[in-house]
Amino acid sequence: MATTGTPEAAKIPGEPTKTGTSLVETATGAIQGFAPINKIHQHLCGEAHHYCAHQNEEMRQCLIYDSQDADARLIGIEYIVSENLFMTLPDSEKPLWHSHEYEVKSGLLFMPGVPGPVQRQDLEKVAKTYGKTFHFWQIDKGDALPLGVPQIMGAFTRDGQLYPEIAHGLEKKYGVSMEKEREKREYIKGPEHGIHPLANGKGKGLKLELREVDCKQPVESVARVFV
Amino acid sequence: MGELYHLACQCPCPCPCPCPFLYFNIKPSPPTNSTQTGTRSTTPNYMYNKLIRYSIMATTTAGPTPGKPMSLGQHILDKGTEMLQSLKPVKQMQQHVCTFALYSHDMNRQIETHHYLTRANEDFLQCAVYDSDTAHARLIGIEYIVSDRIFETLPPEEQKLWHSHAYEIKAGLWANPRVPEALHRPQLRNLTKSYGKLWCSWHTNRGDVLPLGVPSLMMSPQPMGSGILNSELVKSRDKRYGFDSDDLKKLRVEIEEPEWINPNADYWRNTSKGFFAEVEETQMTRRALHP
Repeated sequence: MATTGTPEAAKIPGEPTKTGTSLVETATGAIQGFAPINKIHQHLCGEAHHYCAHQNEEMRQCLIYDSQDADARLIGIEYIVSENLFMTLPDSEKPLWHSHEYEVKSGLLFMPGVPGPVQRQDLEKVAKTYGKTFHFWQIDKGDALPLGVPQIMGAFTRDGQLYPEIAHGLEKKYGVSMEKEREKREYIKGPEHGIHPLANGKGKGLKLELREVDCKQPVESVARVFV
Repeated sequence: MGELYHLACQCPCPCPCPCPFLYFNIKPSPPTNSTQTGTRSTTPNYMYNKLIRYSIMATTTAGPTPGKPMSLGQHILDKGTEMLQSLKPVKQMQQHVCTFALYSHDMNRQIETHHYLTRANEDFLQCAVYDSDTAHARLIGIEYIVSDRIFETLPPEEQKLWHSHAYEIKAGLWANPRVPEALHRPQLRNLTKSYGKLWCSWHTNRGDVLPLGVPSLMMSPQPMGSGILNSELVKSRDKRYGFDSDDLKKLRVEIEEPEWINPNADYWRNTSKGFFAEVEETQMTRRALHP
């Protein structure tokens, strides 16, 4: 699960929500159905906050927020698949996915509010999975608004990649000890076939570039030209 | 649609045992070619109805997501974490909007979208975007919506990535299912002046059963050229919800067109150009960014 730097992005610009607006939205919130959202059952925290729903036993889809508060900013999406499903992906796709073994075993990932033994039951599964994360809002750069192109995020894969001060900050905030968790998670195993050599960007960094292209005309409107 | 059963006692429904738990699930039926799963069962069952009452499945071209069905253990684990965790950010979603979007680089590719909106302030909304409104919905992207006030402060290069909302709303394409038109009229009035930036990260439209590739920038429907929506797409949505976009359009006649839509938005309209994201290898940042 990719993590971001801590700097506080500037506040989102705009006027405070008007009473009329929030009244209407309280009403729509009560009238409308929220089935896809109600499926979200889990808060998984690395440094970014993942709110995950299962598509099935082998796939999860997560919304990524920058905090766990009501005013959290929605900054990205992560898809998580089992090793099994990962193996079915075309080779060109595999570098876009990252392994989770290190983030689980190092104690970096945890579920705020959930007792350790229960957490570990699920983390045993997560350790074997691969994830694909896109961030659409670079709050780590200090962007007050979502600007530019999405970022493809990697994961921490070994010691020394995470700044110790970030780790300490997390430990303090959630009252956890990564060192102790690391020991308790010693027994957890990563992917059965080992981390795939094509995963984690084949060891390289990846970024997205936006290219301007001619847009294709819709079939309907092209036809209209000849009418 | 498979058979409904209780999670706790594993009894098929209606449950013959006095099981006090309300956790239930649908046993998956063998895979079929049909992607429509929202059909009503012939056996009346109140829980089943409860489950599908709010589930009007959208048509999507991708088959079911591959993978084993949820195990009992995982269900219980999920319920447990859900009860213990606060999930505050996702509980702020207050609106469901059903509308349409077009791939910026290939506007023949058009999709129905379901946006779940959270308001940060009067000028900014963030939306989780799904391919349907059911519990099986796939999370296909994120849209950000800003007011014209904010939009005008963005650099021109950034403005090119955004689309306008005026037509979509005025034409009745933008719908808040189950919300009486009069109730959200003032809000629609404000939204006609807004701009959106939508990234689609799971291309179910080309049949991807898993999210492959990278996100695509999406554009909004417009009344001309590449922006014209396939009418079948709209009809199928309208039919599913039991309303007519044309009726909404008539109801919205009184909403004024914005006086000014920034020409940098809807970039394709003046340039016939779209945007396409590609992956490039880069120097790996070995450590997390930190000031």
